[in-house]
Amino acid sequence: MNAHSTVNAAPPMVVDGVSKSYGSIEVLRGLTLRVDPGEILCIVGPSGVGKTTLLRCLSGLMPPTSGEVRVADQVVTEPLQEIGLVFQDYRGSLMPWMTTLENVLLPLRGKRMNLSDARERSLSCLANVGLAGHEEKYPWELSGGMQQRVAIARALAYDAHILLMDEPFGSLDAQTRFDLEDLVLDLRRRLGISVIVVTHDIDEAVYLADRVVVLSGKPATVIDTVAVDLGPVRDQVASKGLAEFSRLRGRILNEIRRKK
Amino acid sequence: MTLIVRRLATFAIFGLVWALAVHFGNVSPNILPQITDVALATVELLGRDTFYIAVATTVRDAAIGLAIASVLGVSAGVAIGAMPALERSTRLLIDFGRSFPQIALLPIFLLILGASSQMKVTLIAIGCFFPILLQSIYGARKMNSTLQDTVRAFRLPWRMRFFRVLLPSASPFILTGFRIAVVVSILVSVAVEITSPVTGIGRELAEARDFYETDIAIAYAIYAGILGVLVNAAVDQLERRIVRWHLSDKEA
Amino acid sequence: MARRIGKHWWIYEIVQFATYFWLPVVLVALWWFISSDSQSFFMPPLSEIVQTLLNDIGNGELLEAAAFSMRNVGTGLSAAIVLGVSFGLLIGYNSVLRSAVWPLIAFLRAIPGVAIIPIVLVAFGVGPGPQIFVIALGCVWPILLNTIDGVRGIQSSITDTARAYRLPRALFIRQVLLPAATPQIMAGIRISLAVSLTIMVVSEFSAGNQGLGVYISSGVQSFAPSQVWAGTVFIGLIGYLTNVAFVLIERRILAWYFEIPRRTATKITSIAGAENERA
Repeated sequence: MNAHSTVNAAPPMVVDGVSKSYGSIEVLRGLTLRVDPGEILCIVGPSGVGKTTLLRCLSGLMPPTSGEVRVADQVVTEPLQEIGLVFQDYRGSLMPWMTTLENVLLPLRGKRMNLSDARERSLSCLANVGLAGHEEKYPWELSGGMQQRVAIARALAYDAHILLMDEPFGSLDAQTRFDLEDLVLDLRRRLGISVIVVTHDIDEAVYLADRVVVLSGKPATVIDTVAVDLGPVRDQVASKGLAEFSRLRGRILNEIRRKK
Repeated sequence: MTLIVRRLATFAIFGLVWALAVHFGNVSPNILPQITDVALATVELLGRDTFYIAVATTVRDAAIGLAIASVLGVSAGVAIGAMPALERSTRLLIDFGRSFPQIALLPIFLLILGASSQMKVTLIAIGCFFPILLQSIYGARKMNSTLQDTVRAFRLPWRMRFFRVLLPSASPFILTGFRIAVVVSILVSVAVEITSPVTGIGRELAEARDFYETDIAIAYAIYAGILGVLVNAAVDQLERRIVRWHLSDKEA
Repeated sequence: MARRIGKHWWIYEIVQFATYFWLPVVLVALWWFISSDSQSFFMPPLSEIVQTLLNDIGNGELLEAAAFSMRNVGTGLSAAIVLGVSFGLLIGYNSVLRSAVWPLIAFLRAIPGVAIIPIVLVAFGVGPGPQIFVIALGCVWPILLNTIDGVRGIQSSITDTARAYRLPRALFIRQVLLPAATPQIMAGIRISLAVSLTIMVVSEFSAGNQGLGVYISSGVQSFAPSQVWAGTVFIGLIGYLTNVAFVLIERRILAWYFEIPRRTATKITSIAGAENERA
C-alpha cells in the first residue's frame, strides 16, 4: 500500500466568516474563502497582518472568535487528520533529538500504525521529497532546505491531503527556495493534495498559486482574490518572464500598498 | 487573587499532611515533631542569645571565606582565562579540584589546624574558590575579540588591561560564580559545624539533635534555609547595581 | 587538534599532550620530594600516603568502603532522578500546578541538605537506608528545578507540531517533553552528583560505621594521618572519575544537543561542560 502513488482527492476546505480577536484587539474580520481539492491557494499580506493567526485558526490549533472552518463538512475544532502543518521555523518544528526518519515516523506512531508499514511509508515519503539516503541524519546535520523537506515529508506520511504552510521558505536562500517551490508544485501534480501557503512574498505567491487571496487592513479582511492562469506546470525562468506574471504581481502589490 | 489562594492552599495542604501524619501515625516527636511545635521553636529561638551568636558566627566565617575565595578565584581565573597556554596547563588540576567533594578535606584540616574558626574559614574558602575560578575563566575567555584587538592596538599596560578591561568585561560571569559561591559558603559552613566542634548554626542544630530537641533542630535547619534566601536576595541587589552597564548594553 | 601534515606530526602530538600534563606532574613530584623528610606528624611523606593507599586497596578495605559509599550515592541519586524528573515534568507542564506549588518548592529547597543529615540520622539511626534517604532528599531539588526549567523552555513550535500531529499524551511525554528537557535535566543531575558526594561524606563523618567517610574519620581517631590522607586522595579520585564518567554519558545522550558527529572519536580533554557557562 503506497498511498501516494495514486492521485487521491483532497477534501474541500471552507472558511466561513472567520474573525479572531485577542482581547479587545480584532485581528481578523469576517474572512470567507474556500480551497478546492487539489488547489494551491496562497494567502499574501504585509507582515503583521495576521496571516499566522489565520493559519492557526485553519489548522485547528486555535479556535476563531466567530465563524468556522470546515473540512469535508466537518467543523475544525482541533487539529485534523487531513491537515499537515509545515511551519516557518524549520529549526523549531523538527525534533532535534530525532533522526530524519524518526521525525517522519513520530506522527505515525501516534496513529498506532504498524511499525514496519510506518517505516516503509516514511521512507517512501522521504524519497518523494528527494531525501533518500538522509534517513539517519539528525536535523543539525541537514541544511535549512533539507530540514524543510523533512517537514513536508512528515506531513505527507501523516496522510495529510491538505498542506498548510506558514512562510515555509522565508528563511532560506533564493536558490533553495526555488527548488522547494518546484517541489510543492510537483507534489501537488503527482499526489493531488491541496496546499495553502501563507507568505509575504508576492512573487512566490503568484508563482505557486492557482488563486491568490490578498489580506490587508487592521483588522485584516480579504481585499481581493486573484486567479492565476499560468497552468499546472511552471518554470522559475519562463513563468516569471510572462507578461501575465508581472501583471498579476503588479496588481497585488498595488492593492497591498493602497490599503496601507 | 486566585493565585494567592492557590499558593496558600499548597502551604496549608503541606502543613495539614504533616500534622495529620504525626497525629494519626503516632510518630514519636524524636522522629518528627508536630508542626506546631516546630513553629513554636522557630519563635522561641528568636529569644535566645545563643541563636544570634550562632547566626553571626556562621555569617562571619562564611563572609571571610568568601572574600578570600573571591580575591584568589578572580585573579587566578582572569589570568588563566586570558592566557590559553596557562589554561591548558591548569585544566587537569582544575577539573580535579572542582569534582572533589571539598568537605572531605575536613579531617585533614582538623588535624593541621584543629577545631577552629581558621579551619572552617579555610574549608569555606576552598569550597567557594572553584565556582568563582571557573566563571572567571569563562568570563575572561569570552571577552569579545573586537575589545581584545582594541586593547592590543592601544598597547595598554597590564595593570590597566586587567582592571579596566578584563575584569569589567568578565564581571557578569564573575557575579554568576559569586552567586553560586555565596550559597556554597553557607552550605560548607553548616557542614563543617555539624561535623566538628566549631560554633555556628550547624553546631547548635547538631547539639539540639543530640539532646533530642528535634523541633529546635528543625527550626535551625529552617533558619539556615532562610539565611540562604536572604543572602541570595542581597546578591541579587548587588548584581543589579554592578551589572547595570551590562543590562543597558543589552537593551540598546 | 593534531594536524597530520608532514612526517613529524607526532612531535606536535606529544607537545600537545605535554601541555596538559606537565603541571600536575611537577606538582606531585614537588609534593613527593618536599614531604619526603617531613617531620610533621600531620603531614606524612607522600610516599607513606601512597603506601597506605596501595596497601588498603590491596587488602580490600578501601574498596569495600568505597563500594558501600558509592552504592548509597548511586541509589540515592537514582531515586532523586526518578522523583525529580517525574515531578518536574508534571509541574513544568501544568502551569496551574506550577504557580501554586512554586513558593513551597522555593522554601523547601532553600533548606540545605547537610542540615537535614543529623535530624534524619538521629531519627532513623545509622545504615544505608537513612543515608540513601538524605542523599535523595538533597539531590532532588536541583533535578526538580532544572526539569521544570527545561520543560518551560521548550519551544512553542515544538508543542504546536505535537498538537498538529495529534500525538497521544504518553507518546508526547516520552518522545517530546522528556528529550526536550534532557539538556537541562543533565545539568541538574551534574549539580546533584556533587551534592550527593558531599552529603555522603558529611553523613559518614557525623555517624556511621562503614564507608569512605568512616575510613577517613577513623584515621583521625586512631591518629593515623596517612590513612586520613589516603582516604581523602581516594575520594578525590572517585569524584574525578565519576565526573568523567558523567561527561561521557552526557555526551552520548546529548550528542544531538552538542552536535557531536557520530563515528568521530571523542577526545575528552576537559570535563568542563558548556552548561557551566552561564551569564
